[in-house]
Amino acid sequence: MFDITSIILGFQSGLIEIFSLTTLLMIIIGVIIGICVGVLPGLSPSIGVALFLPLTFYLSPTNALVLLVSIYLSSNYGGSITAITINTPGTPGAVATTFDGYELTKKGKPGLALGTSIFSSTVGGIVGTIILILFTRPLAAIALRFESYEYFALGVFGLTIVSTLSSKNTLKGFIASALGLLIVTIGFDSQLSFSRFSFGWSELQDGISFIPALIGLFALGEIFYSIEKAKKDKWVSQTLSKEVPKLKQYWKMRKVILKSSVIGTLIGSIPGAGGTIATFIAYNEAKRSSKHPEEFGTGSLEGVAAPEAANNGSVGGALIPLLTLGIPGSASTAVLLGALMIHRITPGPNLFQSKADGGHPEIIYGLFISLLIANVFMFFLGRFGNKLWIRITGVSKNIVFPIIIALSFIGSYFLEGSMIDVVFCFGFGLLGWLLRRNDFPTAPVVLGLILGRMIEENLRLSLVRGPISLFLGRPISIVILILAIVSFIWPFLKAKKNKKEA
Amino acid sequence: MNQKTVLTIITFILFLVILLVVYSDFRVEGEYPANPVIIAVHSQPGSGVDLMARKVAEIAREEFGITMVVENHTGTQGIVAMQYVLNSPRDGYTILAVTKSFLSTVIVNRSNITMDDFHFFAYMVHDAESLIVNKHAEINTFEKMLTDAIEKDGEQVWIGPGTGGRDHLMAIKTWETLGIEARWIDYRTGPLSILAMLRQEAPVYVGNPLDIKGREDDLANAIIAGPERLASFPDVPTFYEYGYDLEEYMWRGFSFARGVPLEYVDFMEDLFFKISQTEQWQKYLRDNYFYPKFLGHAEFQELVEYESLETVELLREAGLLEDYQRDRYMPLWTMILIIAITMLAVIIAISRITGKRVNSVITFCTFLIGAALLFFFETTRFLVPADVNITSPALIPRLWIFIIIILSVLLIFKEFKKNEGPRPEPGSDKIYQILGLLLLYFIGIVAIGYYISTFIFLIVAMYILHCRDWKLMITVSSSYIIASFIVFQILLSIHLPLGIILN
Repeated sequence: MFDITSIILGFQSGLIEIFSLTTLLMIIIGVIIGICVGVLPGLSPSIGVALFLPLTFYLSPTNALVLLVSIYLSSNYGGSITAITINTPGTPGAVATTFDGYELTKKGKPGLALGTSIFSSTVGGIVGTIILILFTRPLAAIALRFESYEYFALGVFGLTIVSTLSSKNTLKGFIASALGLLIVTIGFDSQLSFSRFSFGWSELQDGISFIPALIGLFALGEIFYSIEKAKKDKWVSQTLSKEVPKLKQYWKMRKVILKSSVIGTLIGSIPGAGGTIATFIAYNEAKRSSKHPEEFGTGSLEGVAAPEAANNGSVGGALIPLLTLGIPGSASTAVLLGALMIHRITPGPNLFQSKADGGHPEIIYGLFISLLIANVFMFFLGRFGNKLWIRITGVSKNIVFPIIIALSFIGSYFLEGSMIDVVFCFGFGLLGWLLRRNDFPTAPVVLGLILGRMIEENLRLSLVRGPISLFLGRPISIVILILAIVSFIWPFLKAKKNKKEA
Repeated sequence: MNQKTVLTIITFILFLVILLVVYSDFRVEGEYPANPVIIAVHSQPGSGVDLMARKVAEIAREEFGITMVVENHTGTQGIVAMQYVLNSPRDGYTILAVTKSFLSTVIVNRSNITMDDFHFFAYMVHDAESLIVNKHAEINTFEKMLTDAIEKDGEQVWIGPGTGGRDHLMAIKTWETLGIEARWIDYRTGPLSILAMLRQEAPVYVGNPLDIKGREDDLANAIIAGPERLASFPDVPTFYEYGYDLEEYMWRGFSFARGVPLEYVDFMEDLFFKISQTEQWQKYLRDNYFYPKFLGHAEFQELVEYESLETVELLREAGLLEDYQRDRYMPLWTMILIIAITMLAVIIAISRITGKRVNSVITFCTFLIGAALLFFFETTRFLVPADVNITSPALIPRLWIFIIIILSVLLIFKEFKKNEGPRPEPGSDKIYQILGLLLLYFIGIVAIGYYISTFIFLIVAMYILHCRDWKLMITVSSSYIIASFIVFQILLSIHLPLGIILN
């Protein structure tokens, strides 16, 4: 399964490589930058890594990679802070964290959600790194077995979480997800470069940018709804509890955190699948196996722990195809691949070989050790920062709302320096508001936006490659599709059972 | 004065200072190029073009003392970067990193931009195309590939990124030259195509020699469409060696927008020629398996004109130049109007028949059905070009459209069947004031820029939301502007809009 001798030797050379004050400093700087990147709506991990890539040209390859990977790791956590405090996922991977995290804030307990988030993110990050160190090659082999059929099945599996997200009103949940799936078809066709549904508007040719849509649906939609519903006397600062989870509460969640970390790492290791899908699947699985599924969506700590552990677990996973095959599995790892190329490190199986054979084990294992250290730093900085976030969350809404609106606009603008993204953000804000006031869940729209392209592209690619019956000859895709069916009907069966018992 | 007043005054003065800074022109006067030159790149950091631009910037700074800054303007396969350069002042301080793929991008995207809008002044990289095979597959040499293609008679699969892209056009050119037929399957990106090759999903991948780097144990260049064998791959033959007159390559270089003074174009042509002769640049070419080649303004411009025509020919042969969208049966606004009126009539009719009130959910669902119908009518315009191996672009959108319509109809009936509760309490009218303010804010950003309009927006929004502490409002708004200036303008070098009127 794994070659323990080469791992020990690699660790030795890695320790020597990173044993310096500069590397430690890079980790700390990377973690701080990453958290800030995650907190700012619009700055996704990939953009954060891309923005700081030019600054690493003058660093050694190890320090450059350590800095960028620290940013990548901690920005995945940072996204949860705004998801919890203001219902604005700072990164796409934090969407699922809003389901229960923001509910806890509404109940005046953001500390519980923030504490759970930093703890499970850290555990997820460490588990992901350990799996990366021990099982790189077997996981890379699994990733190689994923073809268009399996990607399609995985997309469908991710989509089945709709039944969990919309258990209160299934019909509305399905409509919302179909809406997201339809919206994502706007723009260039995946097989032929012509623009669908642009209605003669050139700005729509490239499709809808995901980040402005996300910010609009969650941040603006929520603000518009709150302003509409608020009574005049409600515009005062909120008194919030500073309570954080106790050790006993963490211990209770150990299974869900570990399971979600593994789910995150495995799905993260499949190129093109990505951490965001992993968070949804982990959330779904956590709810399915929970003793208190009814608490999900109302402020369950498990509901925060599962997506956060999966999201940070996916960082280690995403590095597997990057380092072993040279294939970036996500937008962030695509930028990391660029960083490797800039520093003349060619990823691939040879990277793990000894230096004499043209490999760079000292850099790779140095990177692994740095990731473990970065997780520890992230935990302490996150714990320290939580006190500050709780204070900010308590600020009066008539100050916070205008600032979030201004932040949403700037977050949408600077992606491509285009005002059209600001228009999209505003448009999605209106859509989010309309959905909320008609009691439609917003999350399924985002789910559709995330999974739509993956489902369509891979289904059509599969159809081009041969008849649809080819799916039947693919055991992995069949297993995933069966899991998808089970996952889809499970909440209904459970609800029926509960009704009977009642 | 109390502490709060002092803080308000300080933050407000800082806000005014920022305004002064962003609206002042601090450019240095002097001999060209006295200021840093921006190189706009259409792809993300670390991509091939980006690495080339950064190498050039590095050599320009180290060996010639000229500062060049690489900026990535990604989106629409290069159109965003081209637009950025065309919208910049024609003062010789904005260069566009160009690649051969732009020739097909502007045509396939039906963009208003043409290659005539640019001065192509430095051809720096000559990257031959190659046919890549999997070493462990049955078909792992050029001869075997050719025999198999003849046997399969049009059924052999070739893969690569993008239909209508350079690699697809290379495939078409190769089939023509070799006298064979094959199927093109678009794997969207280079990495996904390489992944497919590692999985042996197809026998041939059209790429570049560099694509096998780091994967030499699994992938191999079967043949290279270069003028001669590459020093790095002495065993890999060229098409010429088999008697085929085929040379195809991807080039990369630099251009200015037309309108830039010719003396600046000449200056840069000369500078880039000197860069191409440095040892650092030669090493960069060797490391990336590129052929050494430099073309100046006149030759490069001529080449672009010739290859633009050739690209049109190849796209036409591939059946990719026709318009894949039929004309609309009726103008868009007429269609929207008819759908809206029909939907309204149906809902009113149902409401009259059942005697139930039309609530907000029903109105929203009706709007969704109307939008879905509009999308459906749009799909009836999509055409699938003959001889191109794709599924209909209408297939999946129609699936979602039908789901939305069916479920929305079900929900409408459910709502009508539901017992009517009391009318919901009307919401606060503040929301409409905020929405109106947002519209003004948007116009304000375009007209007077981000900094002033955001300051005004924040103060007015806080006022609408019942905040009456003026000192707090000014302090918060000024602090927000200061923070966004530091984070975006200084730390991230992102230029926020300064407005049409004030800029």
